[in-house]
Amino acid sequence: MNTEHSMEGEGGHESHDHFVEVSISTTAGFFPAEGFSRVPVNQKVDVELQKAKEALKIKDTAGWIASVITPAGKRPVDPAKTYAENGLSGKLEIDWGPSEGGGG
Amino acid sequence: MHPAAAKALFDADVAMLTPALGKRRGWTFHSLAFPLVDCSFTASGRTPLRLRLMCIDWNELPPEISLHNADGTLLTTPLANPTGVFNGSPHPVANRQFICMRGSREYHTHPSHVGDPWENLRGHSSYTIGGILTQIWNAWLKGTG
Repeated sequence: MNTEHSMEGEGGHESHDHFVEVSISTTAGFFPAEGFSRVPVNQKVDVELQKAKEALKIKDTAGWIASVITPAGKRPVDPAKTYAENGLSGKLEIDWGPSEGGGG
Repeated sequence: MHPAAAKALFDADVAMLTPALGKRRGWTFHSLAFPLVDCSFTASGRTPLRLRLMCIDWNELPPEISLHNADGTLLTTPLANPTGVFNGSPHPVANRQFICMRGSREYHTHPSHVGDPWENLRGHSSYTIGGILTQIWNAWLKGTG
């Protein structure tokens, strides 16, 4: 759910700098299903990932990696850190899925 | 595996391989019709890699995965600067280069890996059709060329 308008409407104290907009893509679907979620920039990335896991009914995410997709390619994200600590801001497309397979 | 059951499981998996996901990841879907997933990986500055996952008997058996040029012809030369899962030597059964990775039929039928059965992975979130594609994609992204 994109809450951008409702949060900005509450007295104007919230700044764009304090929030990021996040869309998580997986091969089980997108979270949120459409658009972006607006979340605090000081929230750990893992919070939204866990919401995605529950909403998309993903059973097991052991070994999965999160990355941001940029025009220059994919950049890994540490879910245990906040968006700010990961150096992220603005509108974020986070890709989440199993890492390079084992074998060889 | 009954073909109808395999098709139902296949269709449920590929329903999530949407144009929106393809746009975000740089995946182009040429076919998502049972039993074939035909998909190209694209990225800026890279030669596209096209994969065909033949999912007969899904998910009792893992997909047979072959590597192709952008035009669909079988890739006969090894990838430039491949990462670990891309094995440029001929598979002893399939007799072509292959994806040597848990989740490919070529891996599980390779004499070196028959002790690592698909049954242990089947149904895991990382070993859906999309999960297997994602693992190969992440391996491909680590390479160059």
